[in-house]
Amino acid sequence: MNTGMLPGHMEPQKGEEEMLLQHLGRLRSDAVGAFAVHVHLSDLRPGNRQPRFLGIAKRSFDEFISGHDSILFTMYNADLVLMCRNVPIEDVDPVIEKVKALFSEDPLVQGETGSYEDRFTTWHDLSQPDDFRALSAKIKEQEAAATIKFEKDLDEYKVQLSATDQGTPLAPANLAAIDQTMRSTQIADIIRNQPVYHVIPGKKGAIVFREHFIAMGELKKRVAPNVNLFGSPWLFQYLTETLDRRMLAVMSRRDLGKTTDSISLNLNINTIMSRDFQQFHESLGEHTSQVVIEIQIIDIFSDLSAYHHAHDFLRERGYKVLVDGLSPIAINFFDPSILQADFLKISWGPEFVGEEKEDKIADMRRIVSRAGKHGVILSRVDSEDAVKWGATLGIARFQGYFIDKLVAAVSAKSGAL
Amino acid sequence: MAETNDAKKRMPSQERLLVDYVQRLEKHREGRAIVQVHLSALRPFNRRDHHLRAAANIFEPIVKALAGQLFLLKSGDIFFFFKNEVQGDTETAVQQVKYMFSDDLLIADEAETHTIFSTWFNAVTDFPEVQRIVKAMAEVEDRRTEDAKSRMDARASLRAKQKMGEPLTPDVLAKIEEALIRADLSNLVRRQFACKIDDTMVPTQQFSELFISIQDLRETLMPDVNLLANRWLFQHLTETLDRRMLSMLSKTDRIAITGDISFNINIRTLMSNEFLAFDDNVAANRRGAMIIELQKEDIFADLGSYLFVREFVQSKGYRVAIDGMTLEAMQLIDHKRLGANMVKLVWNGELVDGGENVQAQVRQMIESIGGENVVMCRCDNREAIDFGKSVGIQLYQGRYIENLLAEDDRRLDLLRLKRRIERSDEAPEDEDDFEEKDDADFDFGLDDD
Repeated sequence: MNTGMLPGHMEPQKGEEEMLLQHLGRLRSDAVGAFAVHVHLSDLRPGNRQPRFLGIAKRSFDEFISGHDSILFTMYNADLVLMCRNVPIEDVDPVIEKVKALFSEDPLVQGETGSYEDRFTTWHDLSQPDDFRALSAKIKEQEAAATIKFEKDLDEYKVQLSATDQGTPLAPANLAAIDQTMRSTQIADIIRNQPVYHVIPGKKGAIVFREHFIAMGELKKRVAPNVNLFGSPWLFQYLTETLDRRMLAVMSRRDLGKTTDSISLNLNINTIMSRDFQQFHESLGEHTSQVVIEIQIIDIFSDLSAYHHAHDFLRERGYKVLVDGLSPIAINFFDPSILQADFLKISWGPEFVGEEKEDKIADMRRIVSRAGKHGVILSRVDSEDAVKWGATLGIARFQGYFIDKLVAAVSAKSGAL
Repeated sequence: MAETNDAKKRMPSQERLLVDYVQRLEKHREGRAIVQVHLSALRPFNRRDHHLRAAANIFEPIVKALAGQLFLLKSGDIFFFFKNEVQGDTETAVQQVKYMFSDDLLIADEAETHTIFSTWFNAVTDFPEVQRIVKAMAEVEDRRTEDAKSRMDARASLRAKQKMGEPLTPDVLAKIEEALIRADLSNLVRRQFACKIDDTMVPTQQFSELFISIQDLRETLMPDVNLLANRWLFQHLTETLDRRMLSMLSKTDRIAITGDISFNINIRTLMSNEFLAFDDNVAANRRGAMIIELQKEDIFADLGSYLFVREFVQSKGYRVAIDGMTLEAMQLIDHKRLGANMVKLVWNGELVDGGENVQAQVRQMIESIGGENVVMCRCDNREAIDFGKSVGIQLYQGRYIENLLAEDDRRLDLLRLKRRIERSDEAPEDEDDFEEKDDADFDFGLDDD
């Protein structure tokens, strides 16, 4: 089984551009009744271009192909080209619709099949010389691009391999040893922080708090250089409970009383109810209001009542609660305001710019205002576009590389921050 | 800091103070009345602390005039005790509070959803009722704080260990997964039926859920280990079990599959080669008879994958159910958008404790999903069915339903026995009319059985 490896870690496989061109060459003399459907999967959002998704999309054609005079070609960029001869369009439509439906949340599939707005497929009547030439030219172009891209990807893959980044998968058998190493490895020096920044148009903004976290890349080098820690989400979650305890121990020794700055920590709900947290709590004294506890949505959904206990427990003691791990898609499916957190953190991805439909934007704007504008943070902000996108939804608090640069620039100008 | 914490611990809750107050009121009931304002039923974003405080402040003038006493409970509900001479002022205050929340569904749809904004009590005649309500509320609050404490209690985890076995560790998990590769699990597969229940409590099977009994698995493989002690490790184990289940479902000689079935699976497994191989082996017409159950936390761990996979399996003909829903999860999640065919609501006595407002809310949700698409699961008593029926749920599953099925089997056996006896006693009768006979006279068969 493909244990959820990151797409970049897969060994690149060549596309079938060349085969398709040969096929077209043979067809040239007798193209009566032949047509092609070019399915532009390469234009899907990156999140929808995962190899496992693409594999399933391709399989959806299996039944169709075995029942008709047709062949499917897979391009290196993930596009599919379905070649048919004398197949009724009515038979092709259902299979295209089926594949389209798989990606129903993707902006690419919004246009009606065959219509002017259809960006998902391009149809070519190969008996028409113009159409024939257009497809041939397109595939030649893709072949050229694929050759270059393939070499590049292969090099990258080799580099990754040699960096042994992929390594053995995390498994129950090596989990205990890694867990044990994590308990004794020094981590204080690999704790990093990243600010959440309140952007005020035309004015100098302010840091809301700084999220403290363990640099995972560094930690991996120390505890398990040859293991892919992220192969199993559940086993990784298991390790985070150990990391929580280490983090709390280190943070207990840092004196928050010296500053008025706020910090945030990512914790499992289990940890919040543990003795380690109790000790951290005692070390804080009256500074609990400077501490934001970030809780992951996956943790919340696996036991809502445990979340509520933890939430009340924290709030009664003066902490603030943040719900982490929301995607812009997620808030279309549930109302996070019911969680009554002080902050909601939504992760941004470049695929969200300019592609959302108006009514979805309106929906999201409503959710943001309902959750309280002051409480919504857009994270993983890596460009100005992201800030603009957030601002159109009424968001004013941001976190990410782009913000780090911004904060650095501001503090350089004002001398201190 | 520790000191203030202790002080907090010792401080009685508003709920407890309310119980005390009602006790003392017993001797001074004459000329007083009580109103309960059901702010707990407001949508959460209207139920923030500052909203509740603002609502309570509206009663402040009456309290200052020593004509009333107010309690603001953890749930958000207000209990206001007042003298009869300020009845008018109190009614105005309640109206003002109502006006404050006029955009909330509780009020906007009051007529439609049969929700109630306020309940008025006469301190003399309704006293027992008030006593009962405040006691119940205090108990809920006590349990809540007790729970929170016990989570932190080493003693509690020790006790769990003694009762349930050593917590699952990675090493033990590795051994179990190793053993699972070879073990024959077909005798650990259990099935539980989801049924329609008619007015005389006779169940009709709709589909059956197949699952590997964790209890039996534990006893077979690792009797001293609590497999559920760490949920992340357990989740990982379920992925292994998924694959075993799929391979058993592919080999129909291993387990008999009849009628519509459902099974629980991880979304990651649905995207694995094991599932694709399983799917290849399933006859196309069987897919419509299969319901794939997904856990809500799995769905929200990766919504993008869920949406993709749901579409994939539905287009193949399978049906999808969201499992493990609670009242709160139902309020939280837009199940319509999730596009599943079915929702499984876990039975919990608190659904009844919630009173009429909760019932009205649930009824409305069931209506929007369609009662035939909702399964009330883990029903362990008659109350579950009574509540389910009152809100329009049509399907039921759980220990209690299994008992009903067993009972029904017995009843049918007895009917058959009776028919045989009658046949041998008398001339043969028309086969169809045996059910119209009076059921009361076949009790004689019971002792022989």
